[in-house]
Amino acid sequence: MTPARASTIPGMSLGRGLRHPSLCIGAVLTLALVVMALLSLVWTPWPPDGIDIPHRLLSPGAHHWLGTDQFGRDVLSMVMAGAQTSLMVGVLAVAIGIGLGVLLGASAAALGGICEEALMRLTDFTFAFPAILTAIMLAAIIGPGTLTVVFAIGIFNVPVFARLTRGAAKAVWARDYILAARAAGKGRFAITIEHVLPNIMAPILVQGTIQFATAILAEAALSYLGLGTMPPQPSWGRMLFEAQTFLFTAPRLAVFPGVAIALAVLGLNLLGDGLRDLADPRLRRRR
Amino acid sequence: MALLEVEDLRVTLPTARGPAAALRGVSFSLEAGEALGLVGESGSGKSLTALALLGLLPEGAAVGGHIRFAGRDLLALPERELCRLRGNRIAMIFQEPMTALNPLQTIGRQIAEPLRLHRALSRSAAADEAIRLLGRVGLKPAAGRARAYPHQLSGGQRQRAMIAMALACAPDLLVADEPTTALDVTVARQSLDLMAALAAESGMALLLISHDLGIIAETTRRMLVMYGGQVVESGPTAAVFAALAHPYTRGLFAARPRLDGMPGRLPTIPGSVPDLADLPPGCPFAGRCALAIAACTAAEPPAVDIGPGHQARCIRLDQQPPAGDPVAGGPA
Amino acid sequence: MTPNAPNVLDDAPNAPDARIPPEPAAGEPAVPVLRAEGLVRHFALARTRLWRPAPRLRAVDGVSLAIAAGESLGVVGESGSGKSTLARLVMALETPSAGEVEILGRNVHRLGRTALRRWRRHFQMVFQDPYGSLDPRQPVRRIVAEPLQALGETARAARDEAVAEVLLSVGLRPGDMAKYPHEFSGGQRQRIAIARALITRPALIVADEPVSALDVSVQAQVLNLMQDLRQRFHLAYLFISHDLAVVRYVSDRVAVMYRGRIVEMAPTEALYRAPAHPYALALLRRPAAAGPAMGDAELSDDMPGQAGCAYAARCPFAQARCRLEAPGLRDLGQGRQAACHFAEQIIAEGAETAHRLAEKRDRTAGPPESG
Repeated sequence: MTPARASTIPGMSLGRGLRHPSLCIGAVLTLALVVMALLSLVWTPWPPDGIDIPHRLLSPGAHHWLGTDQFGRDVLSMVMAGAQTSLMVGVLAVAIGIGLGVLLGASAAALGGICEEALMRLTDFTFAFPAILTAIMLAAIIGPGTLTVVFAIGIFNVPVFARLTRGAAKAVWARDYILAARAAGKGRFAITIEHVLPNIMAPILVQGTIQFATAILAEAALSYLGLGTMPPQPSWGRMLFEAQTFLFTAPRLAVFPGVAIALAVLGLNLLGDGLRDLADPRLRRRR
Repeated sequence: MALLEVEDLRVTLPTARGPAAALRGVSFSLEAGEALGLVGESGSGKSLTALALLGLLPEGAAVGGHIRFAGRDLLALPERELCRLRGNRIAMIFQEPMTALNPLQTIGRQIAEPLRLHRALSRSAAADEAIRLLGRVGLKPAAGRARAYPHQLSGGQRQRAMIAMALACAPDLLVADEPTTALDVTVARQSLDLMAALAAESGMALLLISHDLGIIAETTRRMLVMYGGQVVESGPTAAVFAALAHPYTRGLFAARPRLDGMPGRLPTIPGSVPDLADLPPGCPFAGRCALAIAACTAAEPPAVDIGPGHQARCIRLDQQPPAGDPVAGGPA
Repeated sequence: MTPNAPNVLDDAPNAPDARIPPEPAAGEPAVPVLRAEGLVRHFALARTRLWRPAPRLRAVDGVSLAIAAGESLGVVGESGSGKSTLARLVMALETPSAGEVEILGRNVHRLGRTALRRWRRHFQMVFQDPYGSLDPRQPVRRIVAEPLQALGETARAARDEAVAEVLLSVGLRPGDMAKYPHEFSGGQRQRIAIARALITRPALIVADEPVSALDVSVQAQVLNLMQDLRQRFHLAYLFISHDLAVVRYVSDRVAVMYRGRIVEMAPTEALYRAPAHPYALALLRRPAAAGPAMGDAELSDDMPGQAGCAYAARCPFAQARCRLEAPGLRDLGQGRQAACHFAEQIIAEGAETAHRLAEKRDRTAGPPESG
């Protein structure tokens, strides 16, 4: 009786991950985003909100690597600090989406019948409102701000995860090991916790990274519209908005936050794609 | 010259733990109008052999050896040429008829498709031909069945539709991979009889792949037994069953539950089928064989002639008691 | 995660004690391990016409059977005969449309949720697909201990001890506990599944096609194991299979199902020697009695309300009477029952064919009958 295979969880091995180019690039970019955000908490070249009118609109140079804006603030410091906002909004919005969405989706799959219908129609209802609209409504009620953005994007994420979870959970519920657990006397709640959730973690995490990217993009868009992050808290979206006036005289002011957004979104999407490939059963080795 | 000649076919598959020699020198030939049985368990390489014949090996597989079909080496043909052969001169029937049929198209349309593709028939001519084929495989009323969707047919009927589809272009070779495993006992028999009868009638060669010794015994005249990516025994079906020369053939035969068997314990082959990714050196069956000696694991045993056209890859053939006195296996 | 998560969906734990001993008190007649009475399970199919009521599939249509302690009943039938639905009804995984299932004298479909959960220690199940029936994300330790854990029982150390013990009795090593299912071959996985069923020391194991997904050389090992375990633990089996040859090795009695009904039930030896129902005859000796043109009859789904024997359309022995009057399951003596008007003649016919076949086999000693 020799074990037939090596003892790893199928598909998720470090070695295979390293051999996957888009996963590697995605992981590096995402890591850079995180490091930048964390670093900006303790150190930035200049204070990101330090107004210095005499040195306004400087070109990149030895003192200000990426130059300064119309108030003389250091662009690099603002981009670094802006990463904080993006990261925070992304984490919180995805957390709200996963928390509520998985709860709804898993409950719908476990309960079935009318409960399932009701829960899923509820998510359809939420889905019908775009994040922007939700944000405008929320901004009207509680005023614009980072929290508004987090809630708007978070609520928009809920149906995404609810649908994904329900679909994946339904597939797991149809497996024989669920029947075996029922035959052993396990209740729906225990089965969901012990069997269903561990088996649908992979697609949820993959979707999580992709929704993270969407959230960063949405935060930038909302801040650009003035519904999101308020000064003095730095935000890439607002940097873009403020750079608009100088688009022809100092285009770099728009380029740097734009590149930061693009790289962050690209990195997270590549990471998500890579994780999806790793978790894809078709790419796993079968007997 | 034989219709199909497979010579020293070797397939290496990429796996997480490095390349795996999944086929290790498979050779056989098949004449026109002949039915050849291929017996093996999961991981024996029998399905891989079929896929190699059709040029449908998984991505990344490395192939060696020769597959000569009507004088042409299939392994050297470009993909376009292969496509022209596939479904036209070489047809395949799969294990699960439900997944091999497109649920969104009528049976008639799916049968007509290869006709239009390979024989350039007009739409209406192909439709007529499809109805004729359905009648030939016993799906009646044929015109009505042609309009049916796969889910409207029973398992046996679907398998008949698959057979009709495979026969559409009057292929020279029909490869049937476990064609009856998904079918009920009574229906399986009819499906097999139909295939054998159609093969005999049209001079088509049949390669029947199965894990079921009974099916092979009833349908074929010659058979191969595969284990661990090798043909361990080959010969006329009657001779193989009479001699049960290779210890694996014998063990497989004894382990099979039989309708007329004695109740009680079944003889077993200890252990389980080895993983193709890490086959032991030498004879792949050595680890489970009661007759194994050190020499068995030292080198791959050569094929030994036992009778006319009957060979086995075993160096301990002289130690095997005569057939009819099956070796009793140890406890599981 | 949370091994003993309180099950919020369950009833309050005011159920009767589930640990009454299975053995009856002295003097009383033995309670059968399983008694099913008039079991019916209908499924509503999709409507074909708007104004007609939706057609109903009678997956199980009036099945009654009983299994004594330590007895093994084989259930044979083709796909769609309702044998898997029967298994799920017995396991209380599905609710019957009518009829009842008693396990050790308790109607499992009437038990409250908590009481049922406790009672499940007495009946466990083994599934067909050893790849699908084990959670790939759980180690063997948790898979095998699941029934115990569901009973809310014992600390982890005691559970591990129990797991090690059952693993040994199915021929695995206690060291295999920490491994995951994908590290095992198909046969070993089925041993794990059997160990899971065994861990609560049940009186009954319902096995739904337990060896049909396994290789022939491994099938025999698992069948032998099931035989050994049955003797060792005095288990009763409800052993379901489409393969008569397999059922023969593990069953004391065999029930043949066709279209949701038992058409024949007999001691194994008697059935295989000479079946009493034409369908059983067709399964056993296909060439002799399969009859012509069965291909199309196989799907002529006679819908409810049709009079006569459900098998008549395929039956080579069918007479006018068969199409008018449905035969009930009737007693033929010697513990056998069959639902056929001409059961006695069929037995005679079957014995004759068997004799002919045996002669032929002796003469040729050629390739065997397929199994």
